[in-house]
Amino acid sequence: MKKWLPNLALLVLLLAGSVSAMAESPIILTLSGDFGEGKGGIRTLSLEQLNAFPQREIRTETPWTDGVIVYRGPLLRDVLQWANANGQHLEALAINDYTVTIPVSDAYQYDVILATHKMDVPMTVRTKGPIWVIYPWQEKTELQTETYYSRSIWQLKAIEVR
Amino acid sequence: MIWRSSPIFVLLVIGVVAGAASLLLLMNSLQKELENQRRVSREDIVWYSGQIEREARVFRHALALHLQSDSAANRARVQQTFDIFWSRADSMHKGTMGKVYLKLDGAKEVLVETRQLLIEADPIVTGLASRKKDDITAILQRVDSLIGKLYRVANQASKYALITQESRRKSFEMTHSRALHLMLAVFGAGALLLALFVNRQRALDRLASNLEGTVASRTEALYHVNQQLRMLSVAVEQSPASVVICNREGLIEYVNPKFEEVSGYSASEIRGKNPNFLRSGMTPLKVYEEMWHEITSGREWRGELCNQRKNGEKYWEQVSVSPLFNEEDEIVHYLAVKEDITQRKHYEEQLLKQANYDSLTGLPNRVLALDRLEQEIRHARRNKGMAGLLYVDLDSFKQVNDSLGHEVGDQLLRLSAERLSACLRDCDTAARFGGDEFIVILSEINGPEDAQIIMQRMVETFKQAFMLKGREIFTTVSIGASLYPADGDRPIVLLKNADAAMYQAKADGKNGYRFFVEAMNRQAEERARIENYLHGALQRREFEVYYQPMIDTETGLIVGSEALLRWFSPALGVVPPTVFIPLAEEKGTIISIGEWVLQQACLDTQHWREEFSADLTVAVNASSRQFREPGFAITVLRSLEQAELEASSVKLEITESLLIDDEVQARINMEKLAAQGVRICIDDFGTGYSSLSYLRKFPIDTLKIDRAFLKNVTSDTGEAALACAIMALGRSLGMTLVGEGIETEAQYQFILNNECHLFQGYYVSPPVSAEEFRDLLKQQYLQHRSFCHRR
Repeated sequence: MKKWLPNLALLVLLLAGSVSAMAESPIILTLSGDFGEGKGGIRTLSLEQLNAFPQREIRTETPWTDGVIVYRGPLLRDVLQWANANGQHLEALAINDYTVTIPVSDAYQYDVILATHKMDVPMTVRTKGPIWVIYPWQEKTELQTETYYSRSIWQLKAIEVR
Repeated sequence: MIWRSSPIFVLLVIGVVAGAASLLLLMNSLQKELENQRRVSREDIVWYSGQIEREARVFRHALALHLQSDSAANRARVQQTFDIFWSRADSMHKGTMGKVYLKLDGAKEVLVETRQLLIEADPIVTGLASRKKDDITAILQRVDSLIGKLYRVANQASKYALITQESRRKSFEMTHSRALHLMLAVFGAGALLLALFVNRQRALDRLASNLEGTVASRTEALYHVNQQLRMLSVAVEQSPASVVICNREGLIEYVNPKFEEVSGYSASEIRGKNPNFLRSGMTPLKVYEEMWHEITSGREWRGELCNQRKNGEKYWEQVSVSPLFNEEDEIVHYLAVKEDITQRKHYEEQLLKQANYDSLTGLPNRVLALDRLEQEIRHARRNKGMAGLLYVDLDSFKQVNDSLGHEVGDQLLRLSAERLSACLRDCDTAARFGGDEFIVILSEINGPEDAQIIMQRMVETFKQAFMLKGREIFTTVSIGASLYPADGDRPIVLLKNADAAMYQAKADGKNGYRFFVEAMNRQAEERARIENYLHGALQRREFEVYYQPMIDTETGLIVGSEALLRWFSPALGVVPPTVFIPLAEEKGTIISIGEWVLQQACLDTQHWREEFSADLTVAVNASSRQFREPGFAITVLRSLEQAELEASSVKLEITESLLIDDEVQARINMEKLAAQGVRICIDDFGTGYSSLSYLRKFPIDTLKIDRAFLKNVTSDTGEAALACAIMALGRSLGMTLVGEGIETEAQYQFILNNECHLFQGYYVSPPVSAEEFRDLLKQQYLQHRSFCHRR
């Protein structure tokens, strides 16, 4: 994980963003785990902060929606690199306490995003927001299996890196 | 071949291929099915339908908490759980999961109701703080009722899941069992196919090994054939016979070196020519026509042809021509194998003439006469006619011969023959029977009168004088006649009776003729009498063995003897062998008499050999009758053993007739004896139907040339030439030659000049008793202390 050192420009940008947004923007994602200072580390992210990451759009159908929908959000691996996360598994937790385990390798093998926007509109809890883990099913058909569908957790609120 | 011969094979192959293909298809569809199953979204419809119920319950719980204590946290909690419930309800009918959910009984209605409730509850939840408790309670109650309905739908989902799971399992099982059956079928067919293949392969292997075996044996056979061909071609090249091969047009393709040698033509100058350039014109055209007809018809032809050499010389060939066929049975070649028989032909002609004709008178001799007589009898028997036989004897020939000499005597015989012949009709035959005896065979007579007319004419003819050497000589004839069938139906009987009649004519004063009458048959009586005394003569010791010395022509020394039988009968006096031997042969007593002679001769000879330490041989006459006895060879060998005499010291003299008859037993005896070293000798050679082939066929060692051949060699150049030819022939066959009846110095000189090895005759000694013979040997022994002989 150490080799995934975040580049300086990104860091500066993010820090500037986080400082300015700190006051009014609520935290929508909490990361916990070993982030270089031993276990028990915590990282939090607001919607603004997530928006500040390079955005990736994924056009896809899902078993729970009608038609092709464009989702947008930061790549999961960018977020993990940003957090300097060490670990093999991510224990993802939804608002309604639904949990699922996502292998960290998924993030690096596929362009998995933490989608915050659906059709360029920020997602609310009612539309399965604020964060929905989206896999590029359309682009990588091998992902169209129950395993990956089950990892596509919505209304995500926290990730524990193990 | 395999494919054509076995439709089951083809069916199996098709079965296996089709089975494998459908199995593949089945597996493929199964694969697709599995993939589909993997790809489709979570079909955990029970979980899916349970989730909305859960969210509803969570919302209700938050609502209930809010009713108990109104706090900001609780209010936020209500808001959040509401939103989550909303999100569920809003998307429940969407996507693939939504489609399934909508199929559930009551799902559509409950979703409509849920959305209705959410829309109605939205303002209340949003403005929770300002709402009355009753409104909230009402919502709570409606949510409660909704939860019940959602629960029922979830229950339905569970049933649905069970059913789909069941059907999927069933379909999977079915596919599975189908695949299993197919696999079984494919494996079964495959195994069968394999078994068939293995079987075929084995059959093929067997076939191949058989084929190899056949090829090997064929190759070997071919090798042998080639070897044989090579041998054959060498044999043909070196053959002592001429070989000519012509093509189917009859043109020469090949001749061997012998042919070139015999014909004088070289192979190169006659190749491609028709062999008819060899024709001498001596062979009738009919013979050639017959030959061509035979061989073009596919048969072998054998015959004798007179051909012409390149230098114009004529020569005789024994020819065998065979057609050669190809595999389609067509004639492709003609093969002629030819042997030059000119020499043989020449000898045979001379011998034939000698054998059948009297050289002095030119009339048929005794042999031919008897043959003609037999023919005549057969002819008469067939035509139920009559035949006559005249026995003619010159009355005073002996006196003429004795007083005026042989030459006059011979001339008298010649002229007498002419006169006799002049008295006959064309169909009659006159023959010289021996000495001054003639016989006449009368053909197709109607009765004794015809014979009488002829006999009368003959007697009349001889009343005229013969003019010989300026002298008038008178001789008369005595004639006896016998008629067929009245006086006999066999030549021997007719002869005997005519002879008897002739003697009657002589007894009646000569110069006349007599017909045979029964009473004349005195000879028959005489014969019976002799037979009577012959019986037991051996036991009464009336026989004695005489020996005539056999002389080496070059040294003049006695080298052996011929044993001759003499009969001194107290009742009959000296009976000549010519009289009693035929009787003994007829009665079979010759067997025991012959055996005795042999024993005696062997004992005497061995005795002399020891006494004078001389390498003496003894020749013993053996009759045909003896040779036909199965035990004869053993008898001879036993006699030799008893006398301790070497087999090579004994010669058995046989007549030519034994060879001509060629009986199996006689041949066996002869070969057995020859194998033991006993030598076989032909007595009186030249008087019978001798031919080269007979001499070659038997193990003959010695030829005794009949006295008749040597009698006139000093006066008659023709006879001398004939005698030379016979001796040359004998020498060419590697035979020991013995001259018989050598009476004069001139005859002796003749045989000496002609390299006749041995001789016997009055010139040296007549047959003498054993005692006298011993004296001769003793005399010789005293003169020449040591004998040295060649044979």
